[in-house]
Amino acid sequence: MSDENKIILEARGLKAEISGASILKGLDLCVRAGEIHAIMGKNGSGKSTFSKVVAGHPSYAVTDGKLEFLGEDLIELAPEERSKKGIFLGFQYPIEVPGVTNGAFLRLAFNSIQAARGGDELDPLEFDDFIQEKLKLLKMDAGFLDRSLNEGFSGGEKKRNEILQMAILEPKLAILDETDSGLDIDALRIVANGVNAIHSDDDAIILVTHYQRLLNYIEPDFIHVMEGGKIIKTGTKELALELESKGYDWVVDEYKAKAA
Amino acid sequence: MRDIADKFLASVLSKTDRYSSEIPILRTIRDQALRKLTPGALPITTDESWRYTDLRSLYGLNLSSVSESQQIDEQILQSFRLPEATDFVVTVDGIFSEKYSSTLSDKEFSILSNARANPAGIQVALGKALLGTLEDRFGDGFSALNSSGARDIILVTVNGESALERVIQVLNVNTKKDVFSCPRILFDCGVGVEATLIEDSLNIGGYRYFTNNVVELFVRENAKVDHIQLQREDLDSFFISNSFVNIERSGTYRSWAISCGAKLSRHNPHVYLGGNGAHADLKGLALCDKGRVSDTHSTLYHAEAHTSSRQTHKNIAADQARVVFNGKIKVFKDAQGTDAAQQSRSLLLSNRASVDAKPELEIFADDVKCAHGATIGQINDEELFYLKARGIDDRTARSLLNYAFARDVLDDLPIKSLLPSIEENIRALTSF
Repeated sequence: MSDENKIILEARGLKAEISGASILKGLDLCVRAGEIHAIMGKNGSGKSTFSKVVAGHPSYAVTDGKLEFLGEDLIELAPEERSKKGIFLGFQYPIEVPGVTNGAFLRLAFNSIQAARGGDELDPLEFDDFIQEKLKLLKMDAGFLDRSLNEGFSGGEKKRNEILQMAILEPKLAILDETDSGLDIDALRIVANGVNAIHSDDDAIILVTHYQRLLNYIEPDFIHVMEGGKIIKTGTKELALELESKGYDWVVDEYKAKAA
Repeated sequence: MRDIADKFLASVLSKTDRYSSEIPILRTIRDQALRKLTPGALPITTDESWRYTDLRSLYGLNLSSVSESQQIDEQILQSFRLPEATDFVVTVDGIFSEKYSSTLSDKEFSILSNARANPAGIQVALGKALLGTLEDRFGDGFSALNSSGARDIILVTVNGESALERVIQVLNVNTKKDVFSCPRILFDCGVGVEATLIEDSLNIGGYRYFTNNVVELFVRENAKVDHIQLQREDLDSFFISNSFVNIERSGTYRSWAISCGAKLSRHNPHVYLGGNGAHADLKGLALCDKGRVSDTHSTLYHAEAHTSSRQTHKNIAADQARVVFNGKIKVFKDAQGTDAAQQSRSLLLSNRASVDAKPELEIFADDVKCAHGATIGQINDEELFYLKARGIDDRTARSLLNYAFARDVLDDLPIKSLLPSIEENIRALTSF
């Protein structure tokens, strides 16, 4: 990856809190077009918070630092505005909404994004044609569209449904928050293949994960270790293997030693 | 407050004393009602079942009744006719309108009118046997006021003679300010017959009126009745409705009471499970915003063995709205094997909206299953964030969640053509 590539997301000294508790404590990250980043770290290190802050979750307040998407300040934007600009958050726990069919929801989301991009909105029949290819990509059958959004979906089905949404919405930046958790090996492969097929040189992906396993299927360009609300180490994919065998503590120790 | 209630009663009675029909049954129910309508007959907030709903604003009105049916733009009227309806019956300010109504069969349908001579035939005999029986037994001051003040009474008996399953739509239209009307229906669904009754109450032109509605409904052995009550009155109006239902052996009654309009609305369904194996399924949806009040007081009477009931009541309250649900279930001593389940769920869309929800069980039998539950909550922020994170704007996301909340009341609504209007009302709650 070259430094010439367009910067998609840039965080500098980013601080954020929830209900007065500070979680992000000066996070730096630069993501360029075409890149895949993985953010790893222990529970409570702030990984999921970072995902939500980028997507605009209203419970988190940014208190300091800069957060830009394609050169534009994100901090004041509502989540739906961020989504329309091309930010996608794949949820760790996708929400069930009984009574709203998956198909109607997907079309509504698609048309919202299309309208924002000045593209054509699709009626139900056109959308039905459009979505068939995407369903195949995730090995989902059309019956998924008639079910209530995520209601009664297995863990794997929910995660596939998230990637289906990513495939439909074609974001510039996809943050996948623990998309691999709760997946068996077959589902993991399907999800990873889907992500790889969607990814191109124009967009970027941030994988938030505990485990190295996902990275066997989606190869990251950079691996970041988060601890105490900051990124304390950045490396290449070999770092993931090292973390897998040695744990996180040595990275933390190394960071502390450096800081001292 | 008792004074103004009594003054209101006297004033309303004075407006209807011109009804002195020659038809004996009308005289009978009128006299019966008048005997009850003495001072104190209309409720005030010190009455237990009215403590959450203050009628002072109604009692302060000076109302009149009309004696002539108003002309209405036929096109507007027809736009309310549901495609599923086999029979279309229109009342205008409480007066039956022959001109706008169309019914399949005279044998099954007729009008008892204070303004007309005695009609002949089986309908009248039916009226004589049934009219007022349930109202007299289960009713209150307002239903008695209807018995004394209804000008025209719609009699429907469905006996299964016609091959077509009957879907009878009664459209109660209000057109005038400061008028009170007393729509009244007697519906008799014969043994083994399936039929649908839709009551749709709305306004064309008028505002700040008072509708005092009563329906008596008889579900005969093995009969199956679907009953839809859609209240979409003017937002300055008052709406009080009493439904009395008697279900005989193995009969099934399903109802959907959807309350969208009125400044103050009160609905009292009384459902009497009076035969072995009778079943009732009550669904209610109250949509309320601004400073409006929507109150439902339902009573299910499990009078016989092996009767069952299901009740789902949903409230959505926005702005400073006030919603009340009181669900009483009475299980009589002989009603062994009763199986009743009631749930009420309320969604508060603002900090100033309020809900009072109360299940009330009176059980005198010992072999009984009686489940009840009530929840009150707000829109879930995580659900909202999820939808917005997909580019869906705040208003659309909220109305989706409201619709999702209401959907189990609407899922099996048999008259699908009503859904767009109800959905529109759900959306309207989110337009702030």
